[in-house]
Amino acid sequence: MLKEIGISAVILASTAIGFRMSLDLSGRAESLRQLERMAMMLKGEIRYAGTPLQEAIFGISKRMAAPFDSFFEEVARDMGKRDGRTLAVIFRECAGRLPKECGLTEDDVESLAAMGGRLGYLDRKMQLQTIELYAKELEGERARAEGEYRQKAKVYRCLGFLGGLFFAVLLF
Amino acid sequence: MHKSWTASYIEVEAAADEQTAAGKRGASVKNTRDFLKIFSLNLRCVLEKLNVDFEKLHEIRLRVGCPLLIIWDGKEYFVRASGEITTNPQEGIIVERKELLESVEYMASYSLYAFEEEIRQGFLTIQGGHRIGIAGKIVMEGDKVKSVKHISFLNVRLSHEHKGCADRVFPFLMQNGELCHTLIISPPRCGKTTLLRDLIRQLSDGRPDFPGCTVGVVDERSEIGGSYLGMPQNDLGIRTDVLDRCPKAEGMMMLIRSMSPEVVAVDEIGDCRDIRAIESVIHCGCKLLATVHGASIDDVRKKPLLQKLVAERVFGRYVVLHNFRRVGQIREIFDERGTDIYRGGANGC
Repeated sequence: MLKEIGISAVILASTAIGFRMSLDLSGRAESLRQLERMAMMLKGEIRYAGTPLQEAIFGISKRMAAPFDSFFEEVARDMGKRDGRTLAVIFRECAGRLPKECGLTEDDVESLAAMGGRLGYLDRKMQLQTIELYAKELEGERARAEGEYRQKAKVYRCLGFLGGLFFAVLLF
Repeated sequence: MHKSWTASYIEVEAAADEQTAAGKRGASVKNTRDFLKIFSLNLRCVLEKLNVDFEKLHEIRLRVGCPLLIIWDGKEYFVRASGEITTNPQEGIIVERKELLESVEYMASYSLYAFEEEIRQGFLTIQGGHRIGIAGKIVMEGDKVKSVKHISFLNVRLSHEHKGCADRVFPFLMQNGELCHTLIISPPRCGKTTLLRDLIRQLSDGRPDFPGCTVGVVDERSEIGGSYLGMPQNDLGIRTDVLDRCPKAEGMMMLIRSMSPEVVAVDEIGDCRDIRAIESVIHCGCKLLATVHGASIDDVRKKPLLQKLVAERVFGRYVVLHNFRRVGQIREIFDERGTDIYRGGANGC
């Protein structure tokens, strides 16, 4: 009886790891898609309404899903504090607090922080170009993440299950 | 999670409401601590220690490499690092470039692009209606000013709300129970916007001798209402509609079409589009309340665009301000023929 329970536990755990890894891949693509939406909204706010960043970011936080809603809310709040930090520092600190579960890689977080650092101080045209450039970067990354998901998600899931099976055979 | 973002946005809007309510209660630099957030951390620490009545503080001037200077109660003072004021420039705290640039970031809420058009004109207006003059290296595009680079000089002009400052002027602007088309003439820093603001409030709320009427305000530079998220932070009365950051000429026409005001109020008229819009306003049956830069009625007569309106006796009253003894004093009030109906003495503000 204990043997059967042990076999099931090993197979289940290994399958769960496989599923988790495939979910991480889809999570990254989804997070990048959300950031693309954010870039689009920010572009619209700046192009059509000339909205100041703090107000625009608050508005965007309202329309984003977790964890980006609280990220942008935090950025806007910190901007309001005017405590000597530059916008670049605020973005970097808040981006650093994004949960790992959102699937973003270190490079993704770094590029988000860098985009924040380039906001706010140039004319409107340059501002829009900065956001467009970031949106293009995101598009490329998202396409790569989706491709990776299509390629690897099934493999991770199968490997998880088969790996568990293999260990079970070896152990018992 | 949703609760938290909803709460935060509501907080921003509630803050605007709260500030509006504070405005209705009276003071202009309502929260000194909040107002000082437009300065860099170092300067903020010094200014927070400043032991002066902020209601009498008119200007704070920042120049890179020069001492921090304030205009308080009509006089110039330098500020020591301890927050004390002095007339000796050697004792004033020196403003560094990084402090000035940090202040610019805060003044523009990290969004200089949002003030692009204003910066091109050399100033920006911040929450509360305070105007910040900017100077530095001008970037030209063809024969037009494109932007200001290397900002090195700032002049923070504080907006002041003095309720009741129009009390003594008000009766002179009325004829047979109706407001006359009025032009307030004043050199810079003499309180024309402050007087205009209080006139708007009194016209809108009404007084014992006047029932109150609908007022439409075109606040091109957010100086009259000091609006934040579309809500005026200064008290403009209960029957006032405000078009914030709207060009005067278009705004006047929009108000007439959409809000049917009885009085249209605008600040600092000057270009030909404004004059055309004024002609439309007066022919629509609305009364006009406007301000213009100048030291006397003759100055207005010499302005090519305004002289026609003066000659045609469009304005029924001209209120001339000066600041000989203190800001906001009424020098003269004229009727449409240029006859002096009031001279000197009365305190406008």
